[in-house]
Amino acid sequence: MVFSQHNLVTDRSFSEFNVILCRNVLIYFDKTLQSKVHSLFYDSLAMFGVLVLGSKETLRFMAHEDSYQQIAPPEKIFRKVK
Amino acid sequence: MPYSVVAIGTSWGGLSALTKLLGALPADYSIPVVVVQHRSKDSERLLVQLLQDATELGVCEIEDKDPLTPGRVHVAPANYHVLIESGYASLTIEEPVRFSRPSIDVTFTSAADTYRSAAIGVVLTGANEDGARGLAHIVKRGGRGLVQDPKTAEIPIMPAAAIRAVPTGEILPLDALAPRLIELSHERAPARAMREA
Repeated sequence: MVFSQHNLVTDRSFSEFNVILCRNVLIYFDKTLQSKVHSLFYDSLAMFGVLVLGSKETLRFMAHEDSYQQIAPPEKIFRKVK
Repeated sequence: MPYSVVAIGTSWGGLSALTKLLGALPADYSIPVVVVQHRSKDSERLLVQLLQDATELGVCEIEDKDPLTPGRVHVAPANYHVLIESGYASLTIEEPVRFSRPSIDVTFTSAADTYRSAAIGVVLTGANEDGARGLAHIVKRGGRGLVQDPKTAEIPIMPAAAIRAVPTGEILPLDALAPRLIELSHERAPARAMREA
């Protein structure tokens, strides 16, 4: 087990993860920064890995929107499928 | 420039007032509508469903960065504040403001800061004083402040507080609010000339 601090805004992907939990953080970012962070998440998730967002957050209009499948809507749990 | 947003704030008694008001707006109403209704923090989508049953406009619960769309009613989700930004809505989970989240003051203030004279704020029935400060901010920035006549409100406290805070606001009975909002949708917003007080 490794605990490590990572800055969403300035740091790059540093591993491949199966699950990323990020709830009610991206709401504080503008769309440009949201898009950047979503690219970071995409690059950091293993294929079929899962991204969990806050209940009022979406992947709409993000470049990787089509790369995820929403599991059990309306929960904001997305599986990377491509 | 036409008005850019109609922001409606209400609390106790709001459901009945909102169904009447929104029910009287046409499907092609040209200004995006944002509704902030106080409700319990774990209430689910029932409010959206009840409002949808009452109006021809499309009703949706706001998700972060949703575009504000003409012909749509954007409803603040339970337990989030709604910030109106240029063309879209953002959510925050900052602390409740004066015991409320969503806070009407927060949404109104952001509408005023973003759209200035092109913002319209409407305060309806309610049992606390949320909305009064936000409405004052809208009017200070040159926008329009409409208040439900407290005599026609299920609970007069909220509109009465708004009137005290905004003596120049338009006070209208519930039935007259939708016709006035339709009228305003055909008008231009005042040219932005107001100086910051």
